Amino acid sequence: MTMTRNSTSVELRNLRRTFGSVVALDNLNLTLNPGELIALLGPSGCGKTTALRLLAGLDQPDSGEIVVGGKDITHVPASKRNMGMVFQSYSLFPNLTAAQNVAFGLRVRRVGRVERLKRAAELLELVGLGEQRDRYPHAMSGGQQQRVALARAIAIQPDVLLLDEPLSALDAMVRSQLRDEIRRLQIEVGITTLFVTHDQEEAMAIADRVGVMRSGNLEQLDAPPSLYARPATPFVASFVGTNNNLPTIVEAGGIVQVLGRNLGIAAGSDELPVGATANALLRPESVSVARADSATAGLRGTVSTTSFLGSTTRLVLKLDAGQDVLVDLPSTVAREFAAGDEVIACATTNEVVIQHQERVVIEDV
Amino acid sequence: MAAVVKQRRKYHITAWVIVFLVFLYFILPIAGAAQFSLRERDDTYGLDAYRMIFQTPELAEVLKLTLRLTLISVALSMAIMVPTVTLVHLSAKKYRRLVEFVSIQPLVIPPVVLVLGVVNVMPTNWMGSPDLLAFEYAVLAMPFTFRALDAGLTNLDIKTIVDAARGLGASWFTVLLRIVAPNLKSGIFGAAFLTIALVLGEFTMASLMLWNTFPTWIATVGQSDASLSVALSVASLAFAWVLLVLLSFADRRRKA
Repeated sequence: MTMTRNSTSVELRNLRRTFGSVVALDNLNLTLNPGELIALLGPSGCGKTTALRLLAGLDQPDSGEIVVGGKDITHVPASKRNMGMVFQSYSLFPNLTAAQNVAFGLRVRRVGRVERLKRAAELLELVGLGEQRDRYPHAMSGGQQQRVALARAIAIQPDVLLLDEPLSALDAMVRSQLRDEIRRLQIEVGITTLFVTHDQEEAMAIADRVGVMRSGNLEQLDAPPSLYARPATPFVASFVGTNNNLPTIVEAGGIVQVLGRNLGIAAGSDELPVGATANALLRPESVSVARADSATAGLRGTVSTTSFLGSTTRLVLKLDAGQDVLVDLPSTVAREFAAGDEVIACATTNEVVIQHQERVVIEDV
Repeated sequence: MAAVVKQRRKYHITAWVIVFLVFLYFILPIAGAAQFSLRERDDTYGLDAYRMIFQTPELAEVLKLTLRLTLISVALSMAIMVPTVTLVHLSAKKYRRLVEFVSIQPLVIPPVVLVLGVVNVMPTNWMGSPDLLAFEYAVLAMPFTFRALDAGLTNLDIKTIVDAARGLGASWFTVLLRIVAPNLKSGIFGAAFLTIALVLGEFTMASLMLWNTFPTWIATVGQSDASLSVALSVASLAFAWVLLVLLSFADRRRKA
């Protein structure tokens, strides 16, 4: 089957959408390159679904422009936009079989019956449901329904594929399988895709670039490794991944002391004057642990608990100063430590994101 | 444990007694009417009254008019209420109470007032057509159609499937015809049945507008032949029941 096609670019320019006094999107600017998959990540109410619905034409912006393939489609109705969309809740038409669901968009486009059923069968094969073509939605599992919804979305050869938390209603195993399948299909078909999720692991695993949103604004748009390693703002640092919030004081020369080491302040951190109290956001994997009788520089503490997570083990340390610190160690290393052991914790990174101590870390969660 | 079993048995018996009493409340008048319609002059029982129904010359004309009014009423009612209730569920949920309030007005406003209102606002050249009654019936049926359709839509994630259909390129007409209506079949069947039952039983408006529909004809016949009138009533009730059973059967087959 020849599904690969010329990919389309998408530009959201200064999109603004308010609901009463609530600003859902505040002059959002976002560009999707042809064939790229961008995941919008953020807490509930951050505006990610609003952005997706505006692009789909299911809602209208107060101001701004939506440009797809160089054409301004801001005021084009949803039915004329040629967008494929998969929703969070199962959106299959209950009165149609799997094949009829997939063929629906083609029927609307007046593709002949034989041709559309042939294409529906091919797409159902592509998502591994060739045998289920005559089943009605109520006779299919959630994962199967979302696969059919995906096949239905790409059947019309859309300019853009829009995925609105399509995995959140599924159990962990199916979610992981379908996530990989979505990515495989997206690359195979070469379709420009906007994926909305509140699950950071999902966003990191599937996207070329991840955009972190907060209160209608895009805080950072970057490739997953960069986003994780170099968060541009304290919000991104605190929202993406797990952090230790360690109290510190800003010192002259733009440094802070964290776990007994002087670390540089990462770009994008709160700009605080010398002497200001701050929280240093330190990843659990950026902390190392040594036995208390070693000569390692750092802060003393005691192992409170250990949690085996497979390849890594998470240690919770209670510092002598009273602070709890999370540490992720390779399980082969972590087996040397047990609850009650006295240890020294030290930071293994050279830069750290800081934020003002009174800032609420994650507002909407 | 024994006390729980005893308690459950007590509830069970009470429930059955209530069901039986309700059954008697409904069935006794109908059984009485059926028995009366079957009684013949010599105190024997037979089907003379039912045979007479088919020998009555006006029957064909009355049924034709009633059937025509039924079809127009159902079509009008569905054409107005399906898009309205769908729209309320899709994008005007906050107006649901208002629409519900408007829809129950025919239960509050006496039919004679509605008829006077219609007579005053309708163009005079429409007054000679019995089809005008169908418009009134569509309004009268609103409390029932609204509820039947509202219940059907409540069980459906209408917003998502409509968004999905629109996103796939369907026009609003296609969405209503191919997606909303088939998934709302139970509600539409229910609403249609209630409208049919209303048209088969509505007397006041037809009588005030001077049209000889099935109910007004039964009343007229009743003045000269009580057995025939009651036989007609029982027959129309039986017809409504058969229709209800057929609709339920069709709905069950669809769901299966």
